[in-house]
Amino acid sequence: MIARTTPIAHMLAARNPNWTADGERTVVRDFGDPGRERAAVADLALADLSTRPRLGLKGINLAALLARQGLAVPGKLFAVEPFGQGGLIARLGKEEFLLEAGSAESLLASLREALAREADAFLIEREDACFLLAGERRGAVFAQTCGYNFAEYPGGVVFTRVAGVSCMLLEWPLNGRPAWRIGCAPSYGPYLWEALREITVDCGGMAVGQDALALNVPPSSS
Amino acid sequence: MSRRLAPQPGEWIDRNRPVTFRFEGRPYSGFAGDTITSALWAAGVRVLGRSFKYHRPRGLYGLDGSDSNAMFETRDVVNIRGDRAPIEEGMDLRAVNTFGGVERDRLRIMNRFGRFTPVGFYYKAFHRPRSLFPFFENQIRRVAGLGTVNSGKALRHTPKDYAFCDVLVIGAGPAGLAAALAAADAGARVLLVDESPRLGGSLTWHGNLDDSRDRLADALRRVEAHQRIQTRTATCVAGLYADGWAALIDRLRLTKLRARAVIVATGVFEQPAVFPHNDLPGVMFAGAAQRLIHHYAVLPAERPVILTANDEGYRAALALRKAGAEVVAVVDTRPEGDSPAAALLKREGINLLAGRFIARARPAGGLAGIRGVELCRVDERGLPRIEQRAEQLACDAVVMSVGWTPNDTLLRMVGTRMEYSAEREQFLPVELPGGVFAAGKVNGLVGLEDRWADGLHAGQAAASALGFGAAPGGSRPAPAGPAINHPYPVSDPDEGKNFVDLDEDLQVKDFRNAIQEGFNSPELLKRYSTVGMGPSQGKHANLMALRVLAKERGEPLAGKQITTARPFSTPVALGHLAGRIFTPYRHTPAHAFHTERGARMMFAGTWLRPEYYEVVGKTREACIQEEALHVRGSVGLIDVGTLGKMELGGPDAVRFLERIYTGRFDNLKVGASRYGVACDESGVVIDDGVVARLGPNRFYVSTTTSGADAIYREWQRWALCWGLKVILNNATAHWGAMNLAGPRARQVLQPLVDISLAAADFPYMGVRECRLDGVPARVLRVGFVGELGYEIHVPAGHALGVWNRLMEAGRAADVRPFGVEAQRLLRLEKGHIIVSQDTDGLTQPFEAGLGWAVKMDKPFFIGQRSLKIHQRRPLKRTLVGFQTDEARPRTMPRENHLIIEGKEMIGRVTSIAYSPTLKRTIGLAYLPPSMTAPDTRFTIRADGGELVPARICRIPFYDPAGERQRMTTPEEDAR
Repeated sequence: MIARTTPIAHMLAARNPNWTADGERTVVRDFGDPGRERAAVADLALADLSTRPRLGLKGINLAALLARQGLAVPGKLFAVEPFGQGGLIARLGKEEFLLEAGSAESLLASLREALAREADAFLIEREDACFLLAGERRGAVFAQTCGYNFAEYPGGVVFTRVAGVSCMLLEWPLNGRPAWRIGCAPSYGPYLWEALREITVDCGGMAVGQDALALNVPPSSS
Repeated sequence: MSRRLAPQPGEWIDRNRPVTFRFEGRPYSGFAGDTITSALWAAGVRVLGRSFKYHRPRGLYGLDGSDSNAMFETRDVVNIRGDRAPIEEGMDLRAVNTFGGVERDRLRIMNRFGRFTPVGFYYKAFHRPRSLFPFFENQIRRVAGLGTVNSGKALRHTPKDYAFCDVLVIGAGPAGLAAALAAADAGARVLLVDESPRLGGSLTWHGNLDDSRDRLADALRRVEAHQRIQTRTATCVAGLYADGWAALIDRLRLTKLRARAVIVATGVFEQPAVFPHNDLPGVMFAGAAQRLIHHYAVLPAERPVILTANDEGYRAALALRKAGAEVVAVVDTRPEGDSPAAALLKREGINLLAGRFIARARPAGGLAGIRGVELCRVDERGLPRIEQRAEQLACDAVVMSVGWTPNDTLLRMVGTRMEYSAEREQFLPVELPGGVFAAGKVNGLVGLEDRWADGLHAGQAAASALGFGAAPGGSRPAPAGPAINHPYPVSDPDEGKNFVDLDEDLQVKDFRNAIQEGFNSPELLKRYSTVGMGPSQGKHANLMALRVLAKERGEPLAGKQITTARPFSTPVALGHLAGRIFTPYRHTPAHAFHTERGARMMFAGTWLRPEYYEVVGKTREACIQEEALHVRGSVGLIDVGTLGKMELGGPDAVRFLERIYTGRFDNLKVGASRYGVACDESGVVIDDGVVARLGPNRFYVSTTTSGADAIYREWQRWALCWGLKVILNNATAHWGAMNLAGPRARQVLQPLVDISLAAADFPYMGVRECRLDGVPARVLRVGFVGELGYEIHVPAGHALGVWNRLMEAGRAADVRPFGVEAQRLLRLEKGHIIVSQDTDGLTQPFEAGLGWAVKMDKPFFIGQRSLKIHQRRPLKRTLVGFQTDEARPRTMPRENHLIIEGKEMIGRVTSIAYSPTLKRTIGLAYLPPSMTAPDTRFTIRADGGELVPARICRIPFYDPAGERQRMTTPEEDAR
């Protein structure tokens, strides 16, 4: 079986990271400095979440269809509900949903199988590039890249532009700390990653691997 | 000689942090917090720069961010404003616009030629002969100007950011502080911005005569403690727009701020007195002298004369006296009075000469300063009577306080109506746009209590307009008391240069001449004289220019307007505007392979694609031709991931496609695909692609690379307009795609997929969903390059793996990657068009040879009505194939070269290349229909005007029967 890779695999590889397997996926464990990376998550850090399995859905009467599958379906446009452990289901349109598996990849796979049999469901491959911008100073990076007024964030998914690319933003606290997911078309992933990484580094942050995200980082003394 | 004073209360310098720097090659030192100007003035340097045109010595003048003659440059940074820029350790500064240094500027001789170079002289002197104008223009630009940009300096990214607030308060003087506190107390999020490095405005330098300092300290404590107030100092609001968008400029960046309401509390700019030699070092504003003392602890002058038309001059005199200066006299244009300020002055023993003006200043040697002034009497309005000479005073400086003008540029920018008040002798805002408020001195208020109350009122009004708190009760304070502005502080004798605009070296007589020549309105006067076009944007000159204009025309000032205010109000470095450059680009999933394999990448829209794969020792053309030959002879793999990829579903999917495309799709079988052409309403070809039917109501459609996003938007629009039940999805980036093409393609692909690729099972133009080494794939049998070909689409995350797998599996068959240029050559050999290369913004399908793909008998498709009209008319041009007479013309024609008959242009080339397979140069071109018969001859005008003979050929040039793209196996042939 050919492994699925992140759209920014070549950008990550250029920084000689330590890779690790996460299910069928290969992800960056760390960039060689796990201690600093863990600390950066509380301050300012950028991580790649692109390889998480996703599924897009368009169709007719999808909310009812998903509810029949036992899912908590977001009622409002752009609202988000949890999907399994660490996953999410976001309502992107009246009849459009995005599902992302957290640790329960098999749940998504079985759902995909079940929905494939439904005539009214149109299954869509979602290969989005997805990054996590975490830390107390994440606003410094957004200030340079995004014209959205985060003070007026109503919750859920926000469509806006980041560094000139159409993106989907979602606040996604990490271990209780503020963090934002930034999703875009995978083809723009390499550009957006590099733009965000450069600004993150300029602002004193850094790119981090998955190990840093998994840890429960103690609150910063500052 | 050091002019540094003993520590002053509230001074801005940090005496524990000395800073050393160089100016004009000499070492100097100052303290952290010093500006360049204050540090140099403290070190006794009087000549800080040279003037724009006459190269006259200039010094400190306003110390308010608008000293355009005290500008400096380092190796990398140009036009540094010395009165704002802090000194930095190791700075190596030069004055701008000198030839041989600021002291010995060789162009100081220009001062003697003033009478030959009046304003606008170059318009008259150098426009004939016209051919020589560029020469003179160059010379003028060299002589007059500002700093020199070092284009070789290292690229420095300047960040550019976004910010938001409820209420933006511009100016942190007493009115601004009060407004910020009032708005924040009401519940609004406030951003308080000031151009100075510290908050407080005039409170920071008015501290010696009243309770300003205590009031400031209290206000700052409250501002700092307020949760809803953010402050930005050393930040200039350079642009303000009516929708609350403000451009904030600080040392590093441009901030694009969106505010829901704006309070402009920007205060005032002092205005100069005009008298001969009023530009020389030592002549300065009273505010400048006081800021120098209180902010930087620097003595402005040893023996100054104060020229004033208001009590502010008295304040300056007292401050100077207290700092240790010997104040020679206070020259007051008003008659002698008995105000408390006058009494205070007398108590201090300062000589007050009332009812006088400065007729002229006496310059020191080399124009390096002032050595005295000659006074004259004034009339009952305070206007100078220069024929009535009075005292002569020896002094080393003239400190002026003859009036102010509101710093109203931002107010004007957003559409505020300002009117001149003859009573106050200044402009005042009379009508503000919604969401914009003004407070403090900009409203003509003078007294501290009035300004504070006005700020509170504005803050409450702005907050309540946004729904925070109640509207302010009572009315705003109104300007009261005697006017503080002199109506015409000008001494204009026949000799000596008296400057109105120090930026542009404009004297009173320059305006008089311009007006006499007919440039007699503010806008015309500005354009002819360039008043207000310098670095200070006329902050010290515009009002005076208007006063001169009114006087010369014998008209009142009331009713007149200064010129339109446009962003930016202050010079902004281009680097700030450029900021960090965001130029998004797109990678296909196989990008890493291409770069590792040595591909020369090219942009196709925002996509990066392999143009060709470089081979050491071979030319570009050779590489491309070898790639093409390899596809013809063996098998090649090209990344076509950039193709637009649309998914369609729903019960009306077929009806939708029937309307979008010119061809017929209701009869397309599941598992088959068909070429589709899309037109706009005028019948112009806008896109093409392959429509593949995956299920009864499920389609997968490719579009052109550049058209994908626009096509998807159009499709969404049409789906809504038509009310069809169709599901649309732009899958372009989410699916990778590659085309495996060549006679050995089947051999490479068959072992990897779980379907039969035999021609009988998977014929030409078929489509199959299958697994490729476990990965879900959509495979289309297409023939764009004219060989057996499989276009393989897989989810983007697997595409690189699939690509590598194909390369690996095809090793035995010698599979090689090929780039965009080889593909363009291969498709040209087949006569396949590329939309937007072989079509243009007017091409309809019948001209492009696509009539076969247009089914006019359908009930409807976009563009059908227009095409029916086209059908009734004769064609004007037709796309045809051609070959050049010479296999390889000496001058190779290129795309868009014209086809010429006699002197007429009769067509143009759209595609052309040398075909290594056919061993001749072939192409596509538009020609009149009368010239499309095979072997018709014509000429192409190539580069350099060379005419290249060619003749019409039938297309396809290669494999006209299409046998190779339908290729069957020997076994199938046998069957």
